[in-house]
Amino acid sequence: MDAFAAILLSGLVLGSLYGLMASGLSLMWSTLGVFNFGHGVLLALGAYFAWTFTEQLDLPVALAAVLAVVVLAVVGVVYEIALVRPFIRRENGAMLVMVATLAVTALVQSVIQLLWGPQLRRVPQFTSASVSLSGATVSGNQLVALVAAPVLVGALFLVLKRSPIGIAVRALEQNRDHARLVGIRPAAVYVFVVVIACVLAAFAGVLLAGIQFMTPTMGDDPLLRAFVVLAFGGTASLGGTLAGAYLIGLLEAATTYFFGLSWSPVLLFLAMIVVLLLRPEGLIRQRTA
Amino acid sequence: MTAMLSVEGLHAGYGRSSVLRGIDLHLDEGEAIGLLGPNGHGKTTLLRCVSGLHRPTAGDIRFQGASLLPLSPRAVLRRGVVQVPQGSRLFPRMTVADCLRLGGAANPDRSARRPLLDEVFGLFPKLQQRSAQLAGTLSGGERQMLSIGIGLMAGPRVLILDEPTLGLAPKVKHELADAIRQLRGRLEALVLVDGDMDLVLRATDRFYVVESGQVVQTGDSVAGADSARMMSLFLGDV
Ligand SMILES: Nc1ncnc2c1ncn2[C@@H]1O[C@H](COP(=O)(O)OP(=O)(O)OP(=O)(O)O)[C@@H](O)[C@H]1O
Ligand SMILES: [Mg+2]
Repeated sequence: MDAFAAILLSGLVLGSLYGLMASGLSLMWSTLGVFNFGHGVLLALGAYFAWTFTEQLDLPVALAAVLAVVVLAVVGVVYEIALVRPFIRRENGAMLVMVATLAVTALVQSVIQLLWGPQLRRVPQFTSASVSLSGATVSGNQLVALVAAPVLVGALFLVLKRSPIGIAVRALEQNRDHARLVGIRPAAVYVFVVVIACVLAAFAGVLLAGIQFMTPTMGDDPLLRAFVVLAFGGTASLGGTLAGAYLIGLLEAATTYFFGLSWSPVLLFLAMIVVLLLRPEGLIRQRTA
Repeated sequence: MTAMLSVEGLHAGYGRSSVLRGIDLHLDEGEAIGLLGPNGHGKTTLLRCVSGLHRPTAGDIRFQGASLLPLSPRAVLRRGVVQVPQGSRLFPRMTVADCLRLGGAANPDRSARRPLLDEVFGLFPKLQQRSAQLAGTLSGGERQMLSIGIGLMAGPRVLILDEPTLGLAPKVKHELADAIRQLRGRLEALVLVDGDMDLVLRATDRFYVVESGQVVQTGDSVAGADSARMMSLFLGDV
Protein backbone atom coordinates (compact mmCIF):
# COMPACT_ATOMS: atom_id res chain seq x y z
CA MET A 1 0.00 0.00 0.00
CA ASP A 2 1.72 3.17 -1.05
CA ALA A 3 1.73 6.26 1.13
CA PHE A 4 -0.42 8.35 -1.13
CA ALA A 5 -3.23 5.79 -1.32
CA ALA A 6 -3.06 5.26 2.45
CA ILE A 7 -3.30 8.98 3.19
CA LEU A 8 -6.08 9.48 0.68
CA LEU A 9 -8.12 6.60 2.05
CA SER A 10 -7.78 7.45 5.70
CA GLY A 11 -8.28 11.14 4.95
CA LEU A 12 -11.51 10.56 3.07
CA VAL A 13 -12.83 8.18 5.73
CA LEU A 14 -12.08 10.68 8.48
CA GLY A 15 -13.58 13.39 6.30
CA SER A 16 -16.76 11.35 5.91
CA LEU A 17 -17.16 10.94 9.66
CA TYR A 18 -16.43 14.61 10.28
CA GLY A 19 -18.82 15.54 7.50
CA LEU A 20 -21.67 13.61 9.16
CA MET A 21 -20.91 15.36 12.45
CA ALA A 22 -20.38 18.79 10.94
CA SER A 23 -23.57 18.85 8.86
CA GLY A 24 -25.68 18.48 11.97
CA LEU A 25 -23.59 20.99 13.88
CA SER A 26 -23.78 23.43 11.03
CA LEU A 27 -27.56 23.07 10.75
CA MET A 28 -27.94 23.71 14.48
CA TRP A 29 -25.59 26.66 14.26
CA SER A 30 -27.43 28.34 11.42
CA THR A 31 -30.94 27.85 12.81
CA LEU A 32 -30.41 28.01 16.58
CA GLY A 33 -27.28 30.11 16.64
CA VAL A 34 -25.82 27.53 18.99
CA PHE A 35 -22.72 25.36 18.92
CA ASN A 36 -23.79 21.99 20.21
CA PHE A 37 -21.09 20.82 22.61
CA GLY A 38 -23.15 17.68 23.21
CA HIS A 39 -22.58 16.44 19.70
CA GLY A 40 -19.67 14.22 20.66
CA VAL A 41 -21.51 12.42 23.40
CA LEU A 42 -24.48 11.91 21.09
CA LEU A 43 -22.11 10.12 18.74
CA ALA A 44 -20.93 7.94 21.63
CA LEU A 45 -24.49 7.23 22.69
CA GLY A 46 -25.32 6.04 19.18
CA ALA A 47 -22.33 3.71 19.26
CA TYR A 48 -23.20 2.24 22.69
CA PHE A 49 -26.81 1.59 21.71
CA ALA A 50 -25.64 -0.12 18.53
CA TRP A 51 -23.29 -2.26 20.65
CA THR A 52 -26.17 -3.29 22.91
CA PHE A 53 -28.30 -4.20 19.93
CA THR A 54 -25.61 -6.30 18.25
CA GLU A 55 -23.87 -7.89 21.21
CA GLN A 56 -26.69 -8.26 23.72
CA LEU A 57 -29.71 -8.66 21.48
CA ASP A 58 -27.74 -10.42 18.77
CA LEU A 59 -29.14 -8.34 15.96
CA PRO A 60 -27.35 -7.89 12.65
CA VAL A 61 -25.20 -4.76 12.51
CA ALA A 62 -27.27 -2.97 9.89
CA LEU A 63 -30.46 -3.44 11.92
CA ALA A 64 -28.66 -2.44 15.11
CA ALA A 65 -27.45 0.71 13.40
CA VAL A 66 -30.95 1.60 12.26
CA LEU A 67 -32.32 0.99 15.77
CA ALA A 68 -29.55 3.06 17.33
CA VAL A 69 -30.34 5.87 14.93
CA VAL A 70 -34.03 5.65 15.85
CA VAL A 71 -33.22 5.72 19.56
CA LEU A 72 -31.06 8.78 19.01
CA ALA A 73 -33.85 10.46 17.08
CA VAL A 74 -35.98 10.10 20.21
CA VAL A 75 -33.07 11.36 22.29
CA GLY A 76 -33.01 14.34 19.93
CA VAL A 77 -36.60 15.23 20.77
CA VAL A 78 -35.82 15.06 24.49
CA TYR A 79 -32.62 17.02 23.93
CA GLU A 80 -34.52 19.84 22.24
CA ILE A 81 -37.26 19.93 24.86
CA ALA A 82 -34.89 19.77 27.83
CA LEU A 83 -31.85 21.74 26.68
CA VAL A 84 -32.90 24.07 23.90
CA ARG A 85 -36.51 25.09 24.40
CA PRO A 86 -36.33 26.37 27.99
CA PHE A 87 -33.41 28.68 27.22
CA ILE A 88 -33.26 29.72 23.60
CA ARG A 89 -35.71 32.62 23.74
CA ARG A 90 -34.22 34.11 26.88
CA GLU A 91 -31.83 36.98 26.88
CA ASN A 92 -28.44 35.49 26.12
CA GLY A 93 -30.29 32.29 25.23
CA ALA A 94 -27.69 30.87 22.85
CA MET A 95 -25.08 31.03 25.60
CA LEU A 96 -27.41 29.30 28.06
CA VAL A 97 -28.11 26.51 25.59
CA MET A 98 -24.41 26.00 24.97
CA VAL A 99 -23.74 25.75 28.70
CA ALA A 100 -26.59 23.27 28.96
CA THR A 101 -25.12 21.13 26.18
CA LEU A 102 -21.74 21.20 27.92
CA ALA A 103 -23.33 20.10 31.18
CA VAL A 104 -25.22 17.28 29.55
CA THR A 105 -22.02 16.06 27.92
CA ALA A 106 -20.38 15.48 31.27
CA LEU A 107 -23.56 13.93 32.61
CA VAL A 108 -24.15 11.52 29.75
CA GLN A 109 -20.49 10.46 29.67
CA SER A 110 -20.78 9.42 33.31
CA VAL A 111 -24.06 7.66 32.67
CA ILE A 112 -22.51 5.71 29.79
CA GLN A 113 -19.66 4.69 32.08
CA LEU A 114 -22.16 3.52 34.72
CA LEU A 115 -24.48 1.67 32.39
CA TRP A 116 -22.04 0.06 30.00
CA GLY A 117 -18.96 -0.18 32.20
CA PRO A 118 -15.35 0.61 31.47
CA GLN A 119 -14.49 -2.36 29.21
CA LEU A 120 -13.17 -1.59 25.76
CA ARG A 121 -15.69 -2.68 23.17
CA ARG A 122 -16.29 -2.50 19.48
CA VAL A 123 -19.31 -2.76 17.26
CA PRO A 124 -18.82 -5.31 14.48
CA GLN A 125 -18.19 -3.91 11.03
CA PHE A 126 -21.12 -3.58 8.66
CA THR A 127 -19.52 -6.14 6.42
CA SER A 128 -16.39 -8.21 6.71
CA ALA A 129 -15.81 -7.77 3.01
CA SER A 130 -12.99 -5.49 2.03
CA VAL A 131 -11.98 -3.95 -1.23
CA SER A 132 -8.52 -3.40 -2.58
CA LEU A 133 -8.03 -0.05 -4.26
CA SER A 134 -4.65 0.73 -5.84
CA GLY A 135 -2.79 -1.02 -3.06
CA ALA A 136 -4.90 0.26 -0.15
CA THR A 137 -7.31 -2.09 1.58
CA VAL A 138 -10.68 -0.55 2.32
CA SER A 139 -12.53 -2.21 5.18
CA GLY A 140 -16.29 -2.66 5.25
CA ASN A 141 -16.99 0.28 7.56
CA GLN A 142 -14.63 2.53 5.68
CA LEU A 143 -16.49 1.72 2.52
CA VAL A 144 -19.85 2.37 4.16
CA ALA A 145 -18.54 5.68 5.54
CA LEU A 146 -17.23 6.76 2.15
CA VAL A 147 -20.57 6.11 0.51
CA ALA A 148 -22.88 7.13 3.35
CA ALA A 149 -21.50 10.62 4.00
CA PRO A 150 -22.18 12.10 0.57
CA VAL A 151 -25.46 10.18 0.25
CA LEU A 152 -26.84 11.27 3.62
CA VAL A 153 -25.62 14.84 3.35
CA GLY A 154 -26.98 14.95 -0.20
CA ALA A 155 -30.34 13.67 1.03
CA LEU A 156 -30.34 16.33 3.73
CA PHE A 157 -29.60 18.93 1.07
CA LEU A 158 -32.63 17.80 -0.94
CA VAL A 159 -34.86 17.76 2.13
CA LEU A 160 -33.83 21.34 2.95
CA LYS A 161 -34.28 22.40 -0.63
CA ARG A 162 -37.63 20.83 -1.41
CA SER A 163 -39.65 19.51 1.52
CA PRO A 164 -42.04 21.75 3.46
CA ILE A 165 -40.11 21.30 6.71
CA GLY A 166 -36.84 22.02 4.88
CA ILE A 167 -38.25 25.22 3.44
CA ALA A 168 -39.43 26.15 6.94
CA VAL A 169 -35.90 25.61 8.27
CA ARG A 170 -34.44 27.90 5.64
CA ALA A 171 -37.15 30.51 6.11
CA LEU A 172 -36.58 30.66 9.85
CA GLU A 173 -32.85 30.92 9.29
CA GLN A 174 -33.25 33.78 6.83
CA ASN A 175 -35.93 35.90 8.49
CA ARG A 176 -37.27 34.85 11.85
CA ASP A 177 -40.08 37.39 12.23
CA HIS A 178 -41.42 37.02 8.73
CA ALA A 179 -41.18 33.24 9.04
CA ARG A 180 -43.38 33.39 12.12
CA LEU A 181 -45.84 35.64 10.27
CA VAL A 182 -46.26 32.97 7.59
CA GLY A 183 -47.07 30.44 10.29
CA ILE A 184 -43.76 28.69 10.86
CA ARG A 185 -43.42 27.38 14.40
CA PRO A 186 -39.82 27.83 15.52
CA ALA A 187 -40.20 25.06 18.09
CA ALA A 188 -41.12 22.52 15.41
CA VAL A 189 -38.17 23.57 13.28
CA TYR A 190 -35.84 23.28 16.26
CA VAL A 191 -37.00 19.75 17.03
CA PHE A 192 -36.49 18.75 13.41
CA VAL A 193 -33.00 20.25 13.29
CA VAL A 194 -31.86 18.66 16.55
CA VAL A 195 -33.27 15.26 15.56
CA ILE A 196 -31.45 15.37 12.21
CA ALA A 197 -28.22 16.34 13.96
CA CYS A 198 -28.61 13.47 16.45
CA VAL A 199 -29.37 10.95 13.73
CA LEU A 200 -26.27 11.88 11.73
CA ALA A 201 -24.07 11.86 14.84
CA ALA A 202 -25.41 8.46 15.88
CA PHE A 203 -24.67 6.98 12.49
CA ALA A 204 -21.13 8.39 12.60
CA GLY A 205 -20.82 6.80 16.04
CA VAL A 206 -21.82 3.35 14.81
CA LEU A 207 -19.26 3.59 12.00
CA LEU A 208 -16.51 4.87 14.27
CA ALA A 209 -17.19 2.10 16.81
CA GLY A 210 -16.39 -0.45 14.13
CA ILE A 211 -13.10 1.23 13.34
CA GLN A 212 -11.79 1.97 16.84
CA PHE A 213 -12.61 1.04 20.46
CA MET A 214 -15.54 2.71 22.12
CA THR A 215 -15.19 5.01 25.12
CA PRO A 216 -17.63 7.55 26.57
CA THR A 217 -15.34 10.27 25.23
CA MET A 218 -14.94 8.76 21.77
CA GLY A 219 -16.85 11.70 20.30
CA ASP A 220 -14.51 14.38 21.64
CA ASP A 221 -11.98 14.27 18.82
CA PRO A 222 -14.55 14.14 16.02
CA LEU A 223 -16.40 17.01 17.72
CA LEU A 224 -13.30 19.18 17.77
CA ARG A 225 -12.53 18.33 14.15
CA ALA A 226 -16.11 19.06 13.14
CA PHE A 227 -15.75 22.40 14.87
CA VAL A 228 -12.70 23.09 12.70
CA VAL A 229 -14.75 22.03 9.68
CA LEU A 230 -17.30 24.72 10.48
CA ALA A 231 -14.49 27.24 10.42
CA PHE A 232 -13.13 25.89 7.14
CA GLY A 233 -16.36 25.21 5.31
CA GLY A 234 -18.43 27.98 6.78
CA THR A 235 -21.85 27.17 8.13
CA ALA A 236 -23.59 28.55 5.10
CA SER A 237 -23.87 25.55 2.79
CA LEU A 238 -23.89 21.82 3.28
CA GLY A 239 -21.67 21.46 0.22
CA GLY A 240 -19.13 23.75 1.86
CA THR A 241 -19.39 21.83 5.10
CA LEU A 242 -18.76 18.49 3.40
CA ALA A 243 -15.88 19.90 1.35
CA GLY A 244 -14.39 21.32 4.54
CA ALA A 245 -14.76 17.93 6.22
CA TYR A 246 -12.80 16.15 3.48
CA LEU A 247 -10.14 18.85 3.60
CA ILE A 248 -9.69 18.46 7.36
CA GLY A 249 -9.69 14.67 7.06
CA LEU A 250 -7.01 14.75 4.39
CA LEU A 251 -4.98 17.31 6.30
CA GLU A 252 -5.18 15.21 9.41
CA ALA A 253 -4.23 12.02 7.58
CA ALA A 254 -1.29 13.71 5.87
CA THR A 255 0.06 15.43 8.98
CA THR A 256 -0.35 12.23 10.98
CA TYR A 257 1.53 10.29 8.35
CA PHE A 258 4.41 12.74 8.07
CA PHE A 259 4.64 14.26 11.56
CA GLY A 260 2.99 11.70 13.82
CA LEU A 261 -0.16 11.59 15.93
CA SER A 262 0.93 14.20 18.44
CA TRP A 263 1.81 16.90 15.93
CA SER A 264 -1.20 16.48 13.70
CA PRO A 265 -3.71 18.35 15.93
CA VAL A 266 -1.24 21.18 16.45
CA LEU A 267 -0.93 21.72 12.72
CA LEU A 268 -4.65 21.33 12.23
CA PHE A 269 -5.54 24.00 14.75
CA LEU A 270 -2.83 26.29 13.44
CA ALA A 271 -4.36 25.93 10.01
CA MET A 272 -7.72 26.80 11.47
CA ILE A 273 -6.41 29.98 13.05
CA VAL A 274 -4.83 31.02 9.77
CA VAL A 275 -8.08 30.41 7.92
CA LEU A 276 -10.04 32.40 10.49
CA LEU A 277 -7.59 35.27 10.16
CA LEU A 278 -7.81 35.31 6.38
CA ARG A 279 -11.45 34.33 5.88
CA PRO A 280 -13.55 35.00 8.98
CA GLU A 281 -16.59 33.53 7.20
CA GLY A 282 -14.88 30.28 6.34
CA LEU A 283 -13.84 29.29 2.86
CA ILE A 284 -17.31 29.14 1.39
CA ARG A 285 -20.15 31.55 2.04
CA GLN A 286 -23.88 31.71 1.59
CA ARG A 287 -26.24 28.84 2.09
CA THR A 288 -27.74 27.92 -1.22
CA ALA A 289 -29.98 25.28 0.30
CA MET B 1 -72.90 44.79 16.32
CA THR B 2 -69.50 43.63 17.48
CA ALA B 3 -66.48 44.66 15.48
CA MET B 4 -64.55 42.10 13.46
CA LEU B 5 -61.28 43.17 15.04
CA SER B 6 -60.97 45.35 18.09
CA VAL B 7 -58.12 46.69 20.17
CA GLU B 8 -59.04 47.69 23.69
CA GLY B 9 -56.89 49.73 26.03
CA LEU B 10 -53.69 48.22 24.70
CA HIS B 11 -50.42 48.91 26.49
CA ALA B 12 -47.07 47.58 25.30
CA GLY B 13 -43.41 48.43 25.40
CA TYR B 14 -39.87 47.18 25.17
CA GLY B 15 -38.16 46.60 28.50
CA ARG B 16 -38.86 49.70 30.54
CA SER B 17 -39.86 52.02 27.75
CA SER B 18 -43.59 52.05 27.17
CA VAL B 19 -44.63 52.54 23.57
CA LEU B 20 -48.39 51.95 23.50
CA ARG B 21 -50.40 53.74 26.18
CA GLY B 22 -53.97 52.61 25.91
CA ILE B 23 -54.87 52.20 22.24
CA ASP B 24 -58.52 51.70 21.32
CA LEU B 25 -59.66 51.01 17.81
CA HIS B 26 -61.92 48.73 15.86
CA LEU B 27 -62.41 47.37 12.38
CA ASP B 28 -65.78 46.25 11.08
CA GLU B 29 -66.47 43.62 8.49
CA GLY B 30 -66.13 44.98 4.98
CA GLU B 31 -64.18 47.95 6.19
CA ALA B 32 -60.74 49.38 5.52
CA ILE B 33 -59.04 51.49 8.14
CA GLY B 34 -55.83 53.48 7.98
CA LEU B 35 -53.32 54.22 10.71
CA LEU B 36 -51.46 57.48 10.42
CA GLY B 37 -48.96 59.17 12.63
CA PRO B 38 -45.37 60.24 12.93
CA ASN B 39 -42.48 57.77 12.84
CA GLY B 40 -41.63 55.83 15.94
CA HIS B 41 -44.92 56.33 17.71
CA GLY B 42 -45.97 52.72 17.95
CA LYS B 43 -47.86 51.73 14.80
CA THR B 44 -45.65 48.74 14.05
CA THR B 45 -45.60 47.74 17.70
CA LEU B 46 -49.40 47.70 17.68
CA LEU B 47 -49.47 45.49 14.60
CA ARG B 48 -46.87 43.13 16.07
CA CYS B 49 -49.13 42.71 19.08
CA VAL B 50 -52.07 41.86 16.82
CA SER B 51 -50.08 39.12 15.07
CA GLY B 52 -48.74 37.64 18.30
CA LEU B 53 -45.13 38.66 17.69
CA HIS B 54 -45.10 40.96 20.69
CA ARG B 55 -46.81 40.58 24.07
CA PRO B 56 -48.76 43.59 25.28
CA THR B 57 -48.61 44.44 28.98
CA ALA B 58 -52.30 45.31 29.31
CA GLY B 59 -55.48 45.50 27.29
CA ASP B 60 -56.96 43.09 24.79
CA ILE B 61 -57.15 42.37 21.09
CA ARG B 62 -60.26 40.54 19.92
CA PHE B 63 -61.08 38.98 16.59
CA GLN B 64 -64.70 38.00 16.05
CA GLY B 65 -65.30 38.18 19.75
CA ALA B 66 -62.38 35.98 20.89
CA SER B 67 -59.11 37.28 22.30
CA LEU B 68 -56.05 36.86 20.09
CA LEU B 69 -53.63 37.43 22.96
CA PRO B 70 -53.09 33.82 24.02
CA LEU B 71 -52.49 32.74 20.42
CA SER B 72 -49.23 32.05 18.60
CA PRO B 73 -48.51 33.94 15.37
CA ARG B 74 -49.44 30.78 13.50
CA ALA B 75 -52.83 30.53 15.21
CA VAL B 76 -53.56 34.20 14.53
CA LEU B 77 -52.66 33.63 10.89
CA ARG B 78 -54.90 30.60 10.63
CA ARG B 79 -57.85 32.65 11.84
CA GLY B 80 -57.29 34.83 8.82
CA VAL B 81 -55.50 37.80 10.37
CA VAL B 82 -52.54 38.20 8.04
CA GLN B 83 -49.79 40.77 8.31
CA VAL B 84 -47.35 42.04 5.69
CA PRO B 85 -44.55 43.39 7.87
CA GLN B 86 -42.75 46.68 7.46
CA GLY B 87 -39.56 46.64 5.40
CA SER B 88 -39.12 42.87 5.33
CA ARG B 89 -35.93 41.57 3.73
CA LEU B 90 -38.06 38.55 2.94
CA PHE B 91 -36.23 35.26 2.53
CA PRO B 92 -33.30 36.47 0.47
CA ARG B 93 -31.93 33.08 -0.59
CA MET B 94 -35.26 31.59 -1.61
CA THR B 95 -36.86 32.00 -5.01
CA VAL B 96 -39.98 34.08 -5.53
CA ALA B 97 -41.91 30.87 -6.22
CA ASP B 98 -40.70 29.27 -2.96
CA CYS B 99 -41.59 32.39 -1.01
CA LEU B 100 -45.13 32.32 -2.38
CA ARG B 101 -45.42 28.61 -1.65
CA LEU B 102 -44.32 29.36 1.89
CA GLY B 103 -47.06 31.97 2.15
CA GLY B 104 -49.63 29.41 1.06
CA ALA B 105 -48.33 26.64 3.30
CA ALA B 106 -50.26 27.81 6.35
CA ASN B 107 -53.48 28.29 4.41
CA PRO B 108 -55.84 25.65 5.82
CA ASP B 109 -57.69 25.55 2.50
CA ARG B 110 -55.35 23.68 0.18
CA SER B 111 -57.61 23.94 -2.83
CA ALA B 112 -57.43 27.73 -2.59
CA ARG B 113 -53.69 27.84 -3.25
CA ARG B 114 -53.82 27.66 -7.02
CA PRO B 115 -56.49 30.36 -7.49
CA LEU B 116 -54.71 32.55 -4.94
CA LEU B 117 -51.47 32.22 -6.86
CA ASP B 118 -53.26 33.23 -10.05
CA GLU B 119 -54.72 36.18 -8.21
CA VAL B 120 -51.29 37.26 -6.94
CA PHE B 121 -49.81 36.97 -10.43
CA GLY B 122 -52.77 38.89 -11.84
CA LEU B 123 -52.18 41.68 -9.35
CA PHE B 124 -48.40 41.68 -9.77
CA PRO B 125 -47.44 40.26 -13.20
CA LYS B 126 -43.80 41.04 -12.41
CA LEU B 127 -43.76 38.31 -9.79
CA GLN B 128 -44.69 35.71 -12.37
CA GLN B 129 -41.88 36.82 -14.67
CA ARG B 130 -39.45 36.64 -11.78
CA SER B 131 -40.66 33.50 -10.08
CA ALA B 132 -37.32 31.70 -10.43
CA GLN B 133 -35.33 34.69 -9.15
CA LEU B 134 -33.97 34.84 -5.59
CA ALA B 135 -35.94 37.18 -3.35
CA GLY B 136 -32.73 38.85 -2.20
CA THR B 137 -32.08 40.11 -5.72
CA LEU B 138 -35.45 41.83 -6.17
CA SER B 139 -35.80 45.62 -6.31
CA GLY B 140 -37.45 47.40 -3.41
CA GLY B 141 -40.78 47.63 -5.19
CA GLU B 142 -40.74 44.00 -6.29
CA ARG B 143 -39.89 42.97 -2.76
CA GLN B 144 -42.96 44.81 -1.47
CA MET B 145 -45.09 43.10 -4.11
CA LEU B 146 -43.74 39.72 -3.11
CA SER B 147 -44.32 40.53 0.54
CA ILE B 148 -47.96 41.35 -0.18
CA GLY B 149 -48.21 38.28 -2.43
CA ILE B 150 -46.99 36.07 0.43
CA GLY B 151 -49.65 37.57 2.67
CA LEU B 152 -52.39 37.01 0.09
CA MET B 153 -51.40 33.35 -0.32
CA ALA B 154 -52.48 32.76 3.28
CA GLY B 155 -56.04 33.64 2.30
CA PRO B 156 -56.54 36.65 4.59
CA ARG B 157 -59.85 37.73 6.07
CA VAL B 158 -58.11 40.80 7.42
CA LEU B 159 -54.99 41.95 5.62
CA ILE B 160 -52.64 44.24 7.54
CA LEU B 161 -50.16 46.20 5.47
CA ASP B 162 -47.36 47.95 7.36
CA GLU B 163 -45.75 50.73 5.29
CA PRO B 164 -46.08 49.06 1.88
CA THR B 165 -44.76 52.07 -0.02
CA LEU B 166 -41.95 53.09 2.32
CA GLY B 167 -38.87 54.24 0.44
CA LEU B 168 -40.22 53.58 -3.05
CA ALA B 169 -39.85 55.82 -6.09
CA PRO B 170 -43.05 57.64 -7.18
CA LYS B 171 -43.71 55.38 -10.18
CA VAL B 172 -43.49 52.14 -8.23
CA LYS B 173 -45.43 53.74 -5.44
CA HIS B 174 -48.33 54.43 -7.79
CA GLU B 175 -48.24 50.86 -9.03
CA LEU B 176 -48.51 49.59 -5.47
CA ALA B 177 -51.16 52.13 -4.56
CA ASP B 178 -53.26 50.88 -7.47
CA ALA B 179 -52.81 47.30 -6.35
CA ILE B 180 -53.81 48.19 -2.80
CA ARG B 181 -56.96 49.92 -3.97
CA GLN B 182 -57.83 46.86 -6.06
CA LEU B 183 -57.29 44.65 -3.02
CA ARG B 184 -59.54 46.88 -0.99
CA GLY B 185 -62.49 45.75 -3.11
CA ARG B 186 -61.68 42.05 -2.84
CA LEU B 187 -60.82 41.60 0.81
CA GLU B 188 -63.19 41.37 3.74
CA ALA B 189 -61.18 43.90 5.69
CA LEU B 190 -57.97 45.86 5.42
CA VAL B 191 -55.66 47.71 7.80
CA LEU B 192 -53.26 50.06 6.08
CA VAL B 193 -50.36 51.85 7.70
CA ASP B 194 -48.41 54.15 5.46
CA GLY B 195 -46.49 57.37 5.55
CA ASP B 196 -48.28 58.49 2.40
CA MET B 197 -51.33 60.11 3.92
CA ASP B 198 -52.93 60.65 0.57
CA LEU B 199 -52.77 56.95 -0.26
CA VAL B 200 -54.11 55.97 3.15
CA LEU B 201 -57.03 58.35 2.98
CA ARG B 202 -57.96 57.29 -0.53
CA ALA B 203 -57.73 53.56 0.12
CA THR B 204 -59.59 53.41 3.43
CA ASP B 205 -62.99 54.22 4.95
CA ARG B 206 -61.82 55.52 8.29
CA PHE B 207 -58.51 56.52 9.80
CA TYR B 208 -56.85 56.74 13.19
CA VAL B 209 -53.95 58.98 14.05
CA VAL B 210 -51.56 57.36 16.52
CA GLU B 211 -49.24 59.60 18.46
CA SER B 212 -47.15 58.72 21.49
CA GLY B 213 -48.90 55.37 21.71
CA GLN B 214 -52.40 56.76 21.79
CA VAL B 215 -55.15 57.45 19.29
CA VAL B 216 -55.25 61.23 19.13
CA GLN B 217 -57.69 61.57 16.29
CA THR B 218 -60.05 59.47 14.24
CA GLY B 219 -62.41 60.19 11.42
CA ASP B 220 -63.89 59.49 8.06
CA SER B 221 -61.24 59.10 5.37
CA VAL B 222 -63.18 60.96 2.69
CA ALA B 223 -63.81 63.84 5.03
CA GLY B 224 -60.21 63.60 6.14
CA ALA B 225 -58.92 63.87 2.62
CA ASP B 226 -60.91 67.05 2.11
CA SER B 227 -60.07 68.55 5.41
CA ALA B 228 -57.63 71.39 5.31
CA ARG B 229 -57.17 70.99 9.01
CA MET B 230 -55.92 67.43 8.45
CA MET B 231 -53.59 68.59 5.75
CA SER B 232 -51.98 71.16 7.95
CA LEU B 233 -51.79 68.64 10.77
CA PHE B 234 -49.71 66.35 8.58
CA LEU B 235 -47.76 68.91 6.72
CA GLY B 236 -46.49 69.87 10.13
CA ASP B 237 -45.01 66.40 10.42
CA VAL B 238 -43.44 66.05 7.01
N1 LIG C 1 -37.34 45.66 19.28
C1 LIG C 1 -37.39 46.88 19.89
N2 LIG C 1 -36.69 47.09 21.01
C2 LIG C 1 -36.71 48.30 21.62
N3 LIG C 1 -37.41 49.34 21.17
C3 LIG C 1 -38.13 49.19 20.05
C4 LIG C 1 -38.16 47.95 19.34
N4 LIG C 1 -38.95 48.09 18.27
C5 LIG C 1 -39.41 49.36 18.32
N5 LIG C 1 -38.92 50.02 19.37
C6 LIG C 1 -39.21 51.42 19.73
O1 LIG C 1 -40.59 51.56 19.91
C7 LIG C 1 -41.05 52.81 19.41
C8 LIG C 1 -42.19 52.60 18.44
O2 LIG C 1 -41.70 51.91 17.29
P1 LIG C 1 -42.64 51.43 16.13
O3 LIG C 1 -41.81 50.70 15.17
O4 LIG C 1 -43.79 50.73 16.72
O5 LIG C 1 -43.12 52.81 15.53
P2 LIG C 1 -43.82 53.12 14.15
O6 LIG C 1 -44.93 54.05 14.48
O7 LIG C 1 -44.16 51.89 13.44
O8 LIG C 1 -42.68 53.89 13.37
P3 LIG C 1 -42.41 53.98 11.78
O9 LIG C 1 -43.43 54.92 11.21
O10 LIG C 1 -41.03 54.54 11.69
O11 LIG C 1 -42.51 52.61 11.24
C9 LIG C 1 -39.83 53.48 18.80
O12 LIG C 1 -39.36 54.44 19.71
C10 LIG C 1 -38.85 52.38 18.62
O13 LIG C 1 -37.54 52.85 18.77
MG1 LIG D 1 -43.64 51.12 11.64
